Amino acid sequence: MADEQDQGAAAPETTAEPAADRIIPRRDAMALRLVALAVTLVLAIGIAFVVVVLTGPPSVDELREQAGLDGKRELLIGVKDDQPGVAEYANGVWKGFDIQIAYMIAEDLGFRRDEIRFLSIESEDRARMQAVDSDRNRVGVDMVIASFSITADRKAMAGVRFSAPYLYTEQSVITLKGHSQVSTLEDLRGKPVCSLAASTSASAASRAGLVVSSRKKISECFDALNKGDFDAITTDAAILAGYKARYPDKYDHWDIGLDATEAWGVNVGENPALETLVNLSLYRSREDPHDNRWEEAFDSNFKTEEEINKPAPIAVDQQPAVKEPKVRQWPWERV
Amino acid sequence: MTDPVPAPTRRIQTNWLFAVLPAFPLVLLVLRLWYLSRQDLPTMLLLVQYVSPLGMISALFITLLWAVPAVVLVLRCLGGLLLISARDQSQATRSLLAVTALRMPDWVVVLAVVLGGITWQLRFLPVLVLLLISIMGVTAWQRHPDDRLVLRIVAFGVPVATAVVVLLWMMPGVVAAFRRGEIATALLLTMPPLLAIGLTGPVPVRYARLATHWPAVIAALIAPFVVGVVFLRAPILPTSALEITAGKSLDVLRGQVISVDDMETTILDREGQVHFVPNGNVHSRTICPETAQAPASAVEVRGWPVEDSVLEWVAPTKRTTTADPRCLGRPLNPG
Repeated sequence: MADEQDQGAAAPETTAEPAADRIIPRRDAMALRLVALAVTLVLAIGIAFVVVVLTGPPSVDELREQAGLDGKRELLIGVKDDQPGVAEYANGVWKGFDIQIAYMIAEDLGFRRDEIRFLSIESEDRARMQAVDSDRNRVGVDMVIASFSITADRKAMAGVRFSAPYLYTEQSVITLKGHSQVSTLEDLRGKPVCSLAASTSASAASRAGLVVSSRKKISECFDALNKGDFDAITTDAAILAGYKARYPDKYDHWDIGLDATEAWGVNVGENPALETLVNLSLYRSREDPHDNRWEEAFDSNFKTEEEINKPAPIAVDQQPAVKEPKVRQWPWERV
Repeated sequence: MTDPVPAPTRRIQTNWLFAVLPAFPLVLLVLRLWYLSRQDLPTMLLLVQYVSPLGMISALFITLLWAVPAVVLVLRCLGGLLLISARDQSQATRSLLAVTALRMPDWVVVLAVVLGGITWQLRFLPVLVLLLISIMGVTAWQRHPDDRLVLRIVAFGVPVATAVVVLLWMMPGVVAAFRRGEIATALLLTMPPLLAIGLTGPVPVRYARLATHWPAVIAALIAPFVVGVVFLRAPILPTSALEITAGKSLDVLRGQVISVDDMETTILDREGQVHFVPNGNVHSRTICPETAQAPASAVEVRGWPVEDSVLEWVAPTKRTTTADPRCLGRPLNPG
């Protein structure tokens, strides 16, 4: 734009008494500069607004405060207590995949193991987040990590807010040893089958024409199966695999070829800030190559059950993808 | 009929400006305390009594150091544009903006550019380049209006070459910003060097005053608010967490310690309440990190986070990764 013309070709609006050999600016160049100046000014106002007013996403501390975790002495987590490999309470100890995931998330939320309290929760109470303590009192929990599959219907329920999924599994069937082969749910058509109340498996079995009875706990289903009240139990493979692994000579675990994936998620109730924090924990666990907590949880619970359960599936051995939550973090905290 | 009252001369206006300017930092300091006290006068008076003025001035200085080059360079740039676009100098120098630019020594501009280069975040450095390039072009038009070669080099060649270099260097950051959906960051990194090419010469005289004088006036009106907001957000007292003996248990009190004397510790909590804790009851104390200061943008240019200045980038950083439980409101030992 420095290509300007000599004074001889002066534009009418230019200087009245210029220096004798002063270069006269070209009009089109000047007009372009005016446009550039206008764009710069508009951009400056826009950027100033973005920088000063829209200060970006909240920090982890702000989210903790919004989630009501600030100053909280104990984090209450609703879990299952009768699912070997998933979540089990035995001899005063909680163990299983869900328990390890709960420890991972709680740790990232700033709680130490002594500050986490697990409470047993039944399937139909997972949406309401009402667990039961050792004195059989109903207690509201902060989050539910209890083999809870994410579905559109559940998402639409009041008080349910799911995190990103932390495990992919599928529905399968378990029978007593010696039962005729079960290849699909239709093989059990008209037969009495047990499933968990308010579970996704119960509705799939009903649609296939099975006579489904529901129990509040999976251990009640196994008790009834052992007594011969049912021909089979159908629910998520990750749950059934634990029983098969514990009693390999008692049960047969069958792959029924359903293509639907059961994606387990954490229910955080009506707490969007907690959802973001849980997702951040899951995101870091998946994306950080130095963070093996999810893999360790999978290996120590499901991997050891694979051999005995073959060819029945258990779960996908990779953590589901998590979209990066929008959280303000220091550069060294990012993964 | 009386004669109309003459408008105050520029000298009088300047005198008033110099009288008002020193009051601005004072107003900022008082406002900061008022803001910290949550508009409670007794709390504010307590803060005034204990908060060190030197500490506050240091905070003001550190927080707002970036504003000095911004004011100097914008004045020089817009004033210079007005000067070279005007029909004659006597008319142009009627504007305080033009006079300020005309009388500004070159070393002030150089110092401002160096200060800006050190204290401005990376995302604003392209704006610094824009201001520098524009000032160089405008100065060339002021001092060598008859030298076509100088104008071609300084007002066209240098801006184009600089834009190419800056864009090439910034490209990874621009790509990352677009991928993350940070449009403002992407615009900040790309647009200024391009726009700089169009800001190195005169604009049509008819619009010169409108395009330079009035934006400067608007910027002067907005700047105190921007500066005020930035300063009000900056911490002036460290956030601490105190474990306090309450009977047999320990409570955690978080907030900003106003003073510690031989009798008690005075602390202002997050809700604006002042607590006087006898020193005998203070079990332990820790300092908590300010995570609200974590950068909003995750974009980096060749490993340099866009919200870091050169100073911040090269200086050693304290990397806090695990939060002290006391900063989360829980005692150090959960037992």
